[in-house]
Amino acid sequence: MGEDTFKGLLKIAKEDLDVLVDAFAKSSYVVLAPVAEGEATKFGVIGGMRIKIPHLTTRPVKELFFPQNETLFSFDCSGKADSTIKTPDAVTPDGVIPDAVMPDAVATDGISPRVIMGVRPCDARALVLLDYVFASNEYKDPYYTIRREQTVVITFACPRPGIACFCASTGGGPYDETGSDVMFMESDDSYLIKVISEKGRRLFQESLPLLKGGCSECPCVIFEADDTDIRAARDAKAASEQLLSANCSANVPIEAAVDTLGRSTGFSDPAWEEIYRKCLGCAVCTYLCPTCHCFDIGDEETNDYGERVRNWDSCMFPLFTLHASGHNPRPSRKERFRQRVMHKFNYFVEANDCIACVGCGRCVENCPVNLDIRQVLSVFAGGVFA
Amino acid sequence: MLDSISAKAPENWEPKIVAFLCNWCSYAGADLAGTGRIQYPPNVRVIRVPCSGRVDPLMILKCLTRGADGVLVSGCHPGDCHYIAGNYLARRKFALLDELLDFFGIEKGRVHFSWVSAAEGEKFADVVKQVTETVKAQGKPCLGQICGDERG
Amino acid sequence: MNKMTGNGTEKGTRHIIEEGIRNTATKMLESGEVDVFIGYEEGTLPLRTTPAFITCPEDATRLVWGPACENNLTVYLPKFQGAVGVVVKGCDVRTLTNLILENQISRDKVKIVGVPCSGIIDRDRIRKVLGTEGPIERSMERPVRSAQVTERSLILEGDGFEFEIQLEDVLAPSCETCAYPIPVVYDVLIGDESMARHAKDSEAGYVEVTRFAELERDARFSYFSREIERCIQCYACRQACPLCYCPECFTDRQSPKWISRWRGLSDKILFHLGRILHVAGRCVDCGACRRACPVGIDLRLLTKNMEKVVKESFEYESGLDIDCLPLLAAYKREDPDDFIL
Ligand code: SF4
Ligand code: SF4
Ligand code: SF4
Ligand code: SF4
Ligand code: SF4
Ligand code: FES
Repeated sequence: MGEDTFKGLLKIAKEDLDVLVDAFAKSSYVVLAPVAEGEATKFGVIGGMRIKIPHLTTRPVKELFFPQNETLFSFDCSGKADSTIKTPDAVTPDGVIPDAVMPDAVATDGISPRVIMGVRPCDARALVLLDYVFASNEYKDPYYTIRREQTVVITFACPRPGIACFCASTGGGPYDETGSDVMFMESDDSYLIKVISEKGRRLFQESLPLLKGGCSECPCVIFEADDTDIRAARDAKAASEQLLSANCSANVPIEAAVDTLGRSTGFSDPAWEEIYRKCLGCAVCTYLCPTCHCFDIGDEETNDYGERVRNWDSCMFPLFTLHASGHNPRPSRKERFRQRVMHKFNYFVEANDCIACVGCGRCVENCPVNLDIRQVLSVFAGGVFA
Repeated sequence: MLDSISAKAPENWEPKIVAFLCNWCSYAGADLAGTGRIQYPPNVRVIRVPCSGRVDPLMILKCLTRGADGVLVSGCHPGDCHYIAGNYLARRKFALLDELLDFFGIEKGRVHFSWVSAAEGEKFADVVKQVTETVKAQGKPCLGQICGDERG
Repeated sequence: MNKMTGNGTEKGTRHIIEEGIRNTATKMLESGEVDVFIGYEEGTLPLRTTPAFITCPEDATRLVWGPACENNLTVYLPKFQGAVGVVVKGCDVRTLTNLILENQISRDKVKIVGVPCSGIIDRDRIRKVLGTEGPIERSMERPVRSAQVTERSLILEGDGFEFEIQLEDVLAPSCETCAYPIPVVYDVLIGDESMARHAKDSEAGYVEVTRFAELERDARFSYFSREIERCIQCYACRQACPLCYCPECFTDRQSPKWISRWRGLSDKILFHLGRILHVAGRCVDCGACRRACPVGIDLRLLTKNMEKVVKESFEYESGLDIDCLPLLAAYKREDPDDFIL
């Protein structure tokens, strides 16, 4: 990220954010943003609600692209239906994109494009990692790909990284633009807006004329940022990065850990014997992780009707590797915990040349026994965790 | 969706009731009702079990989430269990299940328990009549509707 | 200064308990009485401690004690290899007696190190207090950057604020009305009984249950359905519960397949009702399941109601007695049967 981070920025007052959202909606984008659900937060359609951006949603944005449950196709053997295999045209609870589209039917017509506001840089970066899995050159998952193509990701840079954040150690940062189409940067009582991708540009081109400002003629809520604004934004960025690096637990020696795990001895390192011990074997760390992407495909039937479904799965569950014979190649939590860490910091590196962790800290905060991945990595880096 | 859980059942609606009957008593009781030509509502679908103690509360819950409108579990009278205490042990489990379902907000009168011996054909018919009427009066179960509202 | 426990140099109760735990662990490990000693050590986040598995006497100084010692460590005991020492609070020991009754660990393999408990803090409550009275809007920030525990309060620091909360205001709900803060069974009791917090009225724990039961049926059903609808089926509640030790839980059975990960609400309800029934008459209201849930699902009303029913119908309280039959492995001729046709 060079100096041009701050070139050509737009500016909007915080209180005008909802006006902008209205304009997005008017130009036929469905707007999603963080919504509260009980004690937790996740991304959902905001409807007419005011946007509130939490530090980080409890549930990551990945589920809008790779939902926890999805129907791939359905089959009807009753003889009554006109076709035996059908791609469902049901609409997701978010009312956005047909639940499933078969490869030959991939077409963007009729599917409304959507904007996700308030994504954090770590989550946006995680989408690029998911692309390696679901939208690589060799293999494109149609269900995932169409959702990606139709979505504009608006990231909000983090002015105050939290106590569990360690994005900078994973190659990202509180102002990292990877995976974002547009980035909003907080600066006093306004946001500076940086349009990054072509998709982002299109969104603004289509919506700006629809902005209702103080007068009917011009979009007076959006301005060009001046030098003072840019200076303020630059200071905010520096302050944010400073805040992050001042938290010593945010400085995780990931390279050294990746190196240890990548050696031929990594898999059988004696540290595995101890490090997993407090793990309970739940799926909190994997289900809430923005980069975890394991799934299980199965059939769900009733009488003569059935659906082929894809559900999230977790390597922390015994069922994940249970063979039909009853044999389980990962018989205990030790092997399962090792799999989680090795996948993120070794196997994924071998396959894609980058780690599968963006340092969002969700697993750190939500693990019921505070088994901290940063600590685990520090152990493999041969150091002591601060 | 959750607000409409008490939707009324259509007219002439006939509930489906799953009856878990102990092989040694209630099942024979049902047989006796049959051979004695005692009339009872045809709403029950009988599943024969070796003892009321075999009935795992999960079986009852699963019935309710998969389309049954009511469940009846019937075993030997206290003291008469073929396995000595199966029904006593079952009784504790059922008492807890009963309270749990009620507290959770699942209609009273959805799940029933009875003791019917092999000699009580008459009682079996009465129990089925009573259960069918209660379930009918309740309409469609809230649990089943959730299931139907979702993915079948 | 130990931040998570507030154990400074002053000889407060917690400090005495902490030293007691360390000395006991050292002794037990040195004498070879136990192979592993399970206690708590400082966590990596404010307001957190984390389970510690200590095998060398020198490491015993890592052990801590304080109101952030939230985990129920007996979850690690079923089928534990070798002799083990474990730190237990009043509620934790009652899950342990259940494990002993149910033959999951033999009494002579485990050294029970009991602590008189004065209650643990509830992080959700802290977040709520910060949201309503404090400087931070609920769930809008990761609020706290550092925390210190004093004898009676928590001092929380975040971006541009410092805020003091009384411990008494953020105790875990189960702790507020806890009837057994002193472990009912132990090999070693650290400190003495006066060091525990004794609830004024432990029956008050049922007030909410009674009030809830008076709501309309529809309202009860909607409440629980809405709560359970948010469940992401991560099974952390099950995994954190010491009594959910089944090698293969019914949720994982493939034949018959009780629970599907796809059916949504109906199967989530089936899971929770099934689990509540499986811990009926065994649950001790330790709260581990609730704390483990990443989306804050609270089904304590269900377990608490079960506890009440069990007490009233069978005069049984879980985990108090080490020589009895588990509730559902026993019966009395005169057990209630007025619900049977
Ligand atoms: S969240 Fe924690 S306890 Fe649960 S599987 Fe992950 S590391 Fe283990
Ligand atoms: S491993 Fe943990 S910190 Fe890394 S991306 Fe996943 S949830 Fe976030
Ligand atoms: S069900 Fe919950 S409160 Fe009860 S013993 Fe298990 S973890 Fe503790
Ligand atoms: S829910 Fe039931 S089957 Fe599953 S682990 Fe708990 S007690 Fe065992
Ligand atoms: S911990 Fe919470 S989200 Fe996870 S399975 Fe239990 S109730 Fe559901
Ligand atoms: S044999 Fe009939 S209830 Fe046990």
